[in-house]
Amino acid sequence: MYIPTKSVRKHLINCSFFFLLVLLLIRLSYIHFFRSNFLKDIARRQQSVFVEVEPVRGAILDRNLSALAVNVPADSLYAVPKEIKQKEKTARLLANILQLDYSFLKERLSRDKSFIWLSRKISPEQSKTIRKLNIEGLGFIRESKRSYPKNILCSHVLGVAGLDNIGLEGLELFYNQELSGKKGWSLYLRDARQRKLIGTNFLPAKDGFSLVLNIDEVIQFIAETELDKALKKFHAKGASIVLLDPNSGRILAMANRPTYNPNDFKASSAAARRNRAICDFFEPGSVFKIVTASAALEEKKVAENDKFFCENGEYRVANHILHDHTPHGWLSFTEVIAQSSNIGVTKIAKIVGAEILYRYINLFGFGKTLGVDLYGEVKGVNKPPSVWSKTSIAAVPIGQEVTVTALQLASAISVIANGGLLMQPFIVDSIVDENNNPIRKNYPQILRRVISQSTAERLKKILVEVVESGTGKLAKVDYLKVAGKTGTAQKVEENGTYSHSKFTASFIGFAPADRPQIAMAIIFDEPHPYYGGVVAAPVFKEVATKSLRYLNSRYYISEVSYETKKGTP
Amino acid sequence: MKLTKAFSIIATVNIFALLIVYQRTEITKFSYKNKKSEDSLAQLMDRRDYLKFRIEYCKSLDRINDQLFAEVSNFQLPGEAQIVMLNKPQASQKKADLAKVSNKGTGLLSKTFFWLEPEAQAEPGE
Repeated sequence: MYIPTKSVRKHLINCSFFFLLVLLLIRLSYIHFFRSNFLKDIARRQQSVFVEVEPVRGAILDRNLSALAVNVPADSLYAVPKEIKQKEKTARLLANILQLDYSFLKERLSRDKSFIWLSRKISPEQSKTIRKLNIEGLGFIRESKRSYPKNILCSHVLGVAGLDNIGLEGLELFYNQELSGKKGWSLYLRDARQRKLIGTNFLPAKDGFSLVLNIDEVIQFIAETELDKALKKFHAKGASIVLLDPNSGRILAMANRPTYNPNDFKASSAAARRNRAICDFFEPGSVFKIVTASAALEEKKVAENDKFFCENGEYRVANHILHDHTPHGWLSFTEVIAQSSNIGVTKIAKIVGAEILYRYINLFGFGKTLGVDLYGEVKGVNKPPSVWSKTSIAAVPIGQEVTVTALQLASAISVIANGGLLMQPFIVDSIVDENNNPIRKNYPQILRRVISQSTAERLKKILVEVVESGTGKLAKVDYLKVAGKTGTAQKVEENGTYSHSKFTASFIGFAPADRPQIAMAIIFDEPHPYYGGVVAAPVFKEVATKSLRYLNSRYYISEVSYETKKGTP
Repeated sequence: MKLTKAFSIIATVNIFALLIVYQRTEITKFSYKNKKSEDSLAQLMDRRDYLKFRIEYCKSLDRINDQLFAEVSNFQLPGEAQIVMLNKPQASQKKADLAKVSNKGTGLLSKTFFWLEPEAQAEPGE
């Protein structure tokens, strides 16, 4: 038997170690040169994670930068059903805290899944209570929730954003792109428990821009409060109010009833969420007489003192008998408008002619959208004279056979207030970044000249007369001249005939008459009683009085502030 | 000699590898500390945002109006006889008026019931 010598054994050991070393080197080289990418990828996936970074949705502010829509942090509750031991007890506890159905929660907790949402965007109080319970298998993910701190105030204009912070209605929808911002990505290091540790912004998220509105929270509040009071008093089915700065077309307030709370919009009906001021059209009735009067004066067909015989309240046009609510004999042009005589206005319209009247209806912006920065604006109906019936010449001038929106009426009365210009109504003043630096600013836009300045001045005097001695006496403001026109229109029944019990009451006007600061359209759907002069005119009075007092005090304070700043060394 | 050189290279590589591992553990330790402070910061920011929302909510004119008329049943706007009407101040008077306005601050009630302000600012002799 061969027994190796000591030196041979040493040599053999050395050789084996060397062989092992070579093997290791080969393996190392293989890993390094051929497997490195694969292994690096596994390591990267284990140690780090790409996370989508949600941008913060921009706020919506009123013109004094008071917040109307903001983002509030909110926890979303999820469960890992496999890890929950006492499913029934947990479901019962959560049902109490979250005010959710017990069977719904139990069913979700019983699912064979490793992740399931239980409730998204819960309140901080609910989150705190659930955290205290320290239930294994429940977890929270931090999200942000769109919230409206002023509740119902301005809800139709603001609209709502859904669970995923995407605009669904109103300004939230119209300016969704600007408000949303852009998503970013971050690379996070994570531990064995998948906890995110340290992150680097791979692609930073770009937060959404904020909107600064022309809406004034205080004026909006005044308008809504007065609308509510009148709605309750006159048992109306619905109501709308639009308040404009007639010189610029800025919308200072817009409200509708019924309304809803955008913080809980799922609890409201689609009808309550509808912005009636721009989405609903109706026959305007006598407020439309301002168009006929404008056409007559601008075309020099009549003068203020021209007399018209009002047939003592009954006048046949084709096969239709036209009535006045109060019989009149001879009335001047001014009195025809002030007393809102249907017969007088029909006679004026006959002098003006259908074609000219149709042209002025178009010039005032009826039958077309005004291009306000909200979705859902309707055009209304304005038929050309070629399709008019024999009675249309007695219907259209008094606001029948045409349909309009509250916004169109507010814009039309602004034409007379500002000296004859149709301004584009707009809600958003500017889009600003997080430091309130303007990104985009909207400026007043003149759509067209409708009537001359002198005609507008003449009409102002007539409309002042409506409030001073005509049908709009209840709109009269102490120590202030206001101009306006009342309207009471019969609604059309389902069978196509005019109703004798359902009316639309309205008032359009502006104040102060000599230097208009606000123009308004107020509409009530089926009020009791139903006269525009009784229902809508007092609302105008209250809103105008309070709004002007606020606007003037605001102007005075800012004026004093400016002068003091100037004087400060 | 060659073996010594090989060992020293291996030792250097090992030390270098250990340093890398040490660096990684330090980064992880720092990450845990950082995560803790980031969580606290996020919590504080959340609380700040929520408080800001609550302030906006409490400032809501609608809410103040409801509260005022629900809780203070005897609240009444002042009658004509209780109001002192002022003439429009002259330009020289405006600075002094501003001082009063700023002294009054931007109180919630004064903002809400702005129509009471001219009367509220009235002083005897004006």
